[in-house]
Amino acid sequence: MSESNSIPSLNKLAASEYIPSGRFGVEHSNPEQQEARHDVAEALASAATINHAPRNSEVAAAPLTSEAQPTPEVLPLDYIRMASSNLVIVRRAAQSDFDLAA
Amino acid sequence: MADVLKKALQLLTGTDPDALSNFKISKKKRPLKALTERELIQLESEIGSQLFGPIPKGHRREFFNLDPQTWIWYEESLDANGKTQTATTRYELQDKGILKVQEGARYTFLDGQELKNFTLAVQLYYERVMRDVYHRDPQTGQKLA
Repeated sequence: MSESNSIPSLNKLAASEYIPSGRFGVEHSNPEQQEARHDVAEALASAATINHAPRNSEVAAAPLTSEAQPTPEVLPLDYIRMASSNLVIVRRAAQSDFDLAA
Repeated sequence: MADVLKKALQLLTGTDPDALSNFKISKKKRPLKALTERELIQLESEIGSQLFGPIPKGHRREFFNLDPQTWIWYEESLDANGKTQTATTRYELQDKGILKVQEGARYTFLDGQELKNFTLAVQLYYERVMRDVYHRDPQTGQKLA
């Protein structure tokens, strides 16, 4: 288990050919890249939750680069749904005359 | 009709003309307001395309959120004959999971490492777009100071 819970630097990801053969970043032969993949997966498992992440309302939000704090894993699909809908909301708010409610 | 409304307003506010200003909702300056949704998505895609490393010369890459259920990955490049090759992959959020839709009617649900990588990409996209494009805290949605 990786000791660091922070998202690895993007340089690690940038070093890889991230989208070969149409499979989202899966095929890598370079051991360093494979290690980067492992770190990324570990970081994802303990990534900070979003305040309005669904289902587990007791999950405390934590900054991405915080020191190691055990946080329950957010289901990937739930997180992606939350991010997708939030982006649309913020996009529409940016085009309107008024700000989002505080 | 307009007279009736005027009278009603006067009853509420009195005859002081300055009182009406209390009812005006202040319009904040919105630098992104002039942009269309498509243009905002293009701004977001500039960030999305950078998440996966440097883009080779002659290539074009886009990655963005289209709507609450859809993410798009687009790649464009020149083959050995100088012909433009394009590939569009759509990721649809469904109840069963994330359906990857590729050209040629190929459908698969993301799983395993590919799903983890996609989730991470979405996370990075969300964080950076919220901060860099919309100047909002990705966790709270509030405007950054």
